[in-house]
Amino acid sequence: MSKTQSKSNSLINYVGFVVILLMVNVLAYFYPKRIDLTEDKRYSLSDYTVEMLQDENRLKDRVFFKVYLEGDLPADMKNIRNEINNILDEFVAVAGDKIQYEFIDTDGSDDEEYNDQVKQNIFNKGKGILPTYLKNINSSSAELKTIWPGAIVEYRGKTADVVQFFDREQLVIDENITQLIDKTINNIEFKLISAIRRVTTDKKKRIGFLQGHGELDKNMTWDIRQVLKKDYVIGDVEINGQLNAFDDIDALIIAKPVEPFNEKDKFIIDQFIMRGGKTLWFIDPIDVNIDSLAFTGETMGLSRNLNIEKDLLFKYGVRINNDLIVDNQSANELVPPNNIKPPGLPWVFYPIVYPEKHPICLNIDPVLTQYTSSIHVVNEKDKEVKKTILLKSSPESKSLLAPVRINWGFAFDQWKPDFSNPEFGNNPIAVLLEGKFKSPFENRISEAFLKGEVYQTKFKSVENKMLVVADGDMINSSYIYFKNGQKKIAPIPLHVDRMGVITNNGTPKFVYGNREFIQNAVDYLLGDNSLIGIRSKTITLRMLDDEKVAKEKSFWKSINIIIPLAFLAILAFILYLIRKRKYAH
Amino acid sequence: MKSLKTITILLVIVGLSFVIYQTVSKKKSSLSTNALSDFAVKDTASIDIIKLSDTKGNKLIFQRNESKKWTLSDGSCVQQHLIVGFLEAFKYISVKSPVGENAVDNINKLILTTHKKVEIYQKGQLVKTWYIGNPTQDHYGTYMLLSDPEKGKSPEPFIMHLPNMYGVVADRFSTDRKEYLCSEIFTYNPKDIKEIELTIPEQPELNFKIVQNNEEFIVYNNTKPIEFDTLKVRKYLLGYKKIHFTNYNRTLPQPSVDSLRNSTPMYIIKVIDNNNNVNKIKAYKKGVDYQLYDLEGRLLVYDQDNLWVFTNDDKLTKCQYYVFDKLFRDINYFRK
Repeated sequence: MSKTQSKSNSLINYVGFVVILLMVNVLAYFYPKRIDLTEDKRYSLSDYTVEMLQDENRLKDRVFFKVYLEGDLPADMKNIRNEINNILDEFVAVAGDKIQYEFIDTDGSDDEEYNDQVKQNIFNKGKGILPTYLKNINSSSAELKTIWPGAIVEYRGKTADVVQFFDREQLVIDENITQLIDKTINNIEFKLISAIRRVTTDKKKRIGFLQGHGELDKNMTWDIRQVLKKDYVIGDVEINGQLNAFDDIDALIIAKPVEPFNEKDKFIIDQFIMRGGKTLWFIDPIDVNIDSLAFTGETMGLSRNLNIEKDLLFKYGVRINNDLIVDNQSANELVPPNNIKPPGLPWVFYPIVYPEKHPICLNIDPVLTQYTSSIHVVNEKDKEVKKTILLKSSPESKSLLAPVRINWGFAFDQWKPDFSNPEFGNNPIAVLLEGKFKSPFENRISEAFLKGEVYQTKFKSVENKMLVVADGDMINSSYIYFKNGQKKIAPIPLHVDRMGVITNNGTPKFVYGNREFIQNAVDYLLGDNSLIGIRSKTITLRMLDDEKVAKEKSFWKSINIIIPLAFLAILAFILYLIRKRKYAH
Repeated sequence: MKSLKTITILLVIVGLSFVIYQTVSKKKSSLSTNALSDFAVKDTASIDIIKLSDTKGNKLIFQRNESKKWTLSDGSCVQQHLIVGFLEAFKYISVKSPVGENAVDNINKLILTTHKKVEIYQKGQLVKTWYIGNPTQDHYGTYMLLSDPEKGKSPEPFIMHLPNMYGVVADRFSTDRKEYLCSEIFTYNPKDIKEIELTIPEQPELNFKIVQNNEEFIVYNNTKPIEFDTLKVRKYLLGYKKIHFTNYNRTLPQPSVDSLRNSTPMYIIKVIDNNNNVNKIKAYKKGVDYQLYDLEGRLLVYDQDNLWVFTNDDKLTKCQYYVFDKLFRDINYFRK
């Protein structure tokens, strides 16, 4: 082969190789493939999400997300923004054209008035995205920046939903907000897919709040109703002796009844359960007169006979004890005479309980309870009903049997109960029951009724689930709260600490998980386990260790400056030596 | 050996070319990727012509003259704030949401049959054409289709909105010429007024005429000069600084307009400026449009808020008493 031919062959090979590379790129454009090599599968969607995004019967039309977390953001917020972008990209990769999104900067225009009007529309009188004020404590001026951590969802020509990625009125820049960032990033996929689920659901399931036994009314349960309303149809139901009272509902919430149930009502609830109706019981077996405590400084916690504890709930698999739980980890209360102003003192009758490991409880904040009792799992031999404890008091807690003397002395260290023995702690507060329940009415109904054709009584349920919580106040919204030491009267959400206890940086010390706990429980009971699976997906943030950063900051800064310079110097020196050797002679 | 390598490379290229060809010819492009959604024109300062038309055959052309004022193509004065509204829409319009996949064809047909067409020109060149369709069911968005001189018409419409307001974009782009025309009746600097004559046909004894000469006034009552309050005269002249009508007649049919013209006016105002230009209007009572009662429960015959005015160019306009009441005075008002 001649030299010229060899040269031309090499050239063809070289050009051909480049052309092949280009062609492979073109093919990669048409057949994109992704490999997620991260340990926590950060860039992979859960199976349920993929399933929903590919389900053409469900996702019949385009869903358009307008995300307003954009613009000049601090690093932490940028992380959240990028994560939202990643997940939406993943959605698009699976669903294609059906998912579309846009990031919008609310300060994008140079016209301030226009920007303000846009923000007002996004806020939409509190029905839209709620802003977060970012405070820069390092800045000499009291600089406040507003960000909009949410998205508006458009579906079939109208604004169908709003996604709030996190809900904090104020945050301090440079404050350690790792937990919030962590939680928000973990929840992005869940929030986006549940928004898609909401807007594409044609028929929502129905939840009834039982009335007629002194239960909490719609004002007292407004917050949880607001939350559940997004996914379910919510309403009140009264039995009024009608056998078909619960025919139209899928789940029943019994929120803090105070009057005893008669046998008819119990039978109707029982038959609802036997037919597969889901129930959430929030029961306070002990009556604590808070007015007496406020006026006299002392009251008694007395047993309240609701006529359901000994037969109905017992037969299903739990016993609610006639006691009150006191816990060293507790929320605050105003205690006279010297602590009548907020933040008050820790009040042992308000245990802050920690969730156990269960899909319902993953990634939720501690749950606030008030004058809660303990709950016991019974009939453990019955393998047809699985009993799972979801909430427990802390190891530094104990149970006080009714009648319980309650006085302000419990708020002071010298009169606090002895919490040193952990054997008295870890008292169960909430239990999940799953399986085939047996009716307590078996062998109690007259033959004439059973043989009648009007109603078919069942004594064993189909596969069913129920949640029993030994605290009625867990679902009770508060109306009196304190902000900057001032008493205010307005409805506050369940996650907000009504005493307004704050950290040194001015941010809330307590954020409660009551809302998420109940929401998760309802989802779980009504069969949306898959959504909870997404909610509990954990992405670990590899954050820098603040202490280490403070300690080693200057060292690493110097390294970063010196090493590249040194490298350049060495390179220059080597070049100098080479040139010297080459041209010396 | 080397040529074998070359042949292999060439074969691979041929194979890949075939796969790419197959892929490209099979691949159906998604509508959204081809759809044009960039409706906004950020540099509104360079917009100099706006053409509006609709499927009913109405057509309007607005152009910016050298003094940066917008006029109609025939030079007619137009209300500038309406054009500012256009420009604001051009700048801030944004996608509210894409149109549902199943609705694309239907919306395209609807836009094709009923639309308003807005052609935007920058420095004489057509840059974008909007086809504005109907509002969405909730009236928060408007179906719109974009056409680009280079890329052509978008295959897919979008639901558009102005993010800083709630409402329908189409309403800004009316194709009714009358809506844009300047609505001034009197716009006088008091110094430029030479003479004002107000006639009350039903009570001629109350007529008056104000004559100004180098800020010296004479007030006549039917040719007789009277003693008057100068401050009141000055205040009265100031009232002629900004008098506009609400809109041109849209409700009265031509026979009724003729009847109105032949009836006795409520007031006649004649203004002559220093250049001897005459501006004469005739004001008439306006009947109520629907059954209305006063505070004592009596049926109202005349509209309490609006009146008819024939302008100097004999056009019938609807005006408000709120605007005209300060002009409708009689001789007694000026007397000392």
